[in-house]
Amino acid sequence: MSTHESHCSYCTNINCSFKDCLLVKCSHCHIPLHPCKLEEHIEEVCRRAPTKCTNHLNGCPIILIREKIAGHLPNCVASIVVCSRDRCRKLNTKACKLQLKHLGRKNEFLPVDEEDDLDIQLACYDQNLIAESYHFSRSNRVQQRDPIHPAHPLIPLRNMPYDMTTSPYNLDDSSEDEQREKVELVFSTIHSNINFQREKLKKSRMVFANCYMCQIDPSVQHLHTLGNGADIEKLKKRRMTPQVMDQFHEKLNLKVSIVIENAPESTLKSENIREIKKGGTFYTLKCLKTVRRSEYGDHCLSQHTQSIDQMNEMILRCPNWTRGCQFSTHRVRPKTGKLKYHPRTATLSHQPVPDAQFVQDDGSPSDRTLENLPLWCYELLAMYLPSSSLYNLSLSSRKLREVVFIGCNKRCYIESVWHPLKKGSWIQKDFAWKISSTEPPPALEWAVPVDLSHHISQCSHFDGVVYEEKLIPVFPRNLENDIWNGFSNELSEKSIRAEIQDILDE
Amino acid sequence: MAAEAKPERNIKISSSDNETFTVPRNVIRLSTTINTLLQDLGLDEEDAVNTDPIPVQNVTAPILKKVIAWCTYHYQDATPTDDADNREKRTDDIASWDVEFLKVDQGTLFELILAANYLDIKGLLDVTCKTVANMIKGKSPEEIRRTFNIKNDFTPEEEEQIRKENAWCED
Repeated sequence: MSTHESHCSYCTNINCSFKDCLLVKCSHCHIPLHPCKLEEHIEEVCRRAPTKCTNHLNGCPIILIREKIAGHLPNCVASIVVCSRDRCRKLNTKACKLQLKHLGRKNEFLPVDEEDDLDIQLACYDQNLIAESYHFSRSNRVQQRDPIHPAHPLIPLRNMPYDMTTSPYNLDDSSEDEQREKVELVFSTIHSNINFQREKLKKSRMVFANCYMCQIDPSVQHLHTLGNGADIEKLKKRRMTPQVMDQFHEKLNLKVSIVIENAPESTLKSENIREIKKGGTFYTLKCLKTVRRSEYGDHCLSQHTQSIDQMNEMILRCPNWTRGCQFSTHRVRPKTGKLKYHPRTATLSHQPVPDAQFVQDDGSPSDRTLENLPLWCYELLAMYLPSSSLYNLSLSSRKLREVVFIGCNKRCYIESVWHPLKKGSWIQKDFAWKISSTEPPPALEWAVPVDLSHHISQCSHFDGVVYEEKLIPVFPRNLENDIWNGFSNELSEKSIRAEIQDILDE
Repeated sequence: MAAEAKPERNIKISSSDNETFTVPRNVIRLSTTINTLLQDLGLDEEDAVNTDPIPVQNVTAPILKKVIAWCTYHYQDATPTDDADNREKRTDDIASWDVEFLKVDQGTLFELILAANYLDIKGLLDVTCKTVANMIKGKSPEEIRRTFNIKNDFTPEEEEQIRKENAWCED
């Protein structure tokens, strides 16, 4: 054992006079220690030594003094979060599922019209997303199902680059069928044994396939009931109430319901939920936006909790909306300006001041524009702007893109880029600077929806019951008088009789 | 603050195009640049004779006039507390007078930002930035281009690419 190992590694004495390894001072924090420990001290412990940020592996390029790392981390560019909030949608009628599939295959999407109410815009956007998911082949979709989403996988679907059997694009009906056959062929050769056994089992069960009890409750021990003509499928169909598309959705060509379903994230999105039994598949759409950790709270409030989650209050519809009434008002809305939905970024954005309030440029004497300001000016402006605005600025022109990513670098985030190597194996290749598209929530204002009361009385879609026969009074008009008179007569008669009786008794 | 009791002193300042303005000392106090200048040069003393106007090199007459108008309205305001945190600042608290005052064309608005910075008038810089921020907030790239008359110099392929990836390529 060397002297370093026997003495130095245990020595904590700052006045140590051990001759074999004389104390030196750390050049950063000036603490005396044995030189054999100096390297480790600087690398791992020294408070004043420059170190790479903890997020170095995630791409943070900063090198700073170790004791300052704690202060840096909240603003670290590599400290990012992927939002996992989701919302659910259900179909209007069962038939809509097939229509959505057709829309997806043909790449036909609904336009998201800015003039519409927010809930309609959202529903259109969501329908497009769902239709897009049907553009993926069935095998791809089935592959991406998970125990929580057994009916339809999480939307947006992942592109599976290593999956050779499916190509998400350039698919039409026939090729999908062909591919399915191909997949089945491959599948059957590999798993022929399993398949064979499964077939055998199926055959042995075939005899009892029509058993009534098997279909009602297969878990119960029973004798199979056969051949009594009770066709369960027919029975089921007869019991089902016909589903009709209401006029509101019909008019907007919406296949998904405008009502956003909020099922808990961790519950099974399948047929055990009451609504699903009636309506078919339950679609779950995840947010999946990457935001900086420090922005996450704002993101959740502005994009989920204070907007989509309270869409019922933001857009309050006339009770006759299923008959096609388009009227809407609000219980809550931003104090100033309005909320807008940007389908390109799937972001709800607050526009504080309407356009009309600004003077349009009419040949001003100055040649200053947004594009030729000094750099400090952009840095200053960035302090007043949310990330979503910076993001949109970065998309408006080359110059502004440079300004955002170089001048306002502190607001961007850095993300590692992963590349697929082969099936199931990924490699972290490089880092990319990005800017999130999110913003803090606007101040909201609650109010009584008075205009709804005004509207209801005049709603043209109100389908009141009209009686055409002449009204016949149930009671004659002098009924009240008659009752009173009769009562008093009776009273007086009684009292007279009683008096007579009294006299007779005497 | 003994100076306040004394009769108002006036300061002369001249714009870059040599137009001279006379401004009360109290009003021009808002401009930290000129305020410091006056103090450092000893022009604040009673017997100081300042016949020469102070040149404001970077600001033209129409802009300087606007700046003085703003200062005249706001010189009695409490000095804003300097919150030097990194968080995004509010933009929904612009006073109604300022909203009316800043209903100007964009060129003037940007010139006002530059002038406010040069003269170091915190309040004016703040309120002009808020106004520009409000013009940008909540708008899509197309709407920003329309508002600020910006030419789209991305090729359609590039635009598709950056929309999809949103990544900044350093090259």
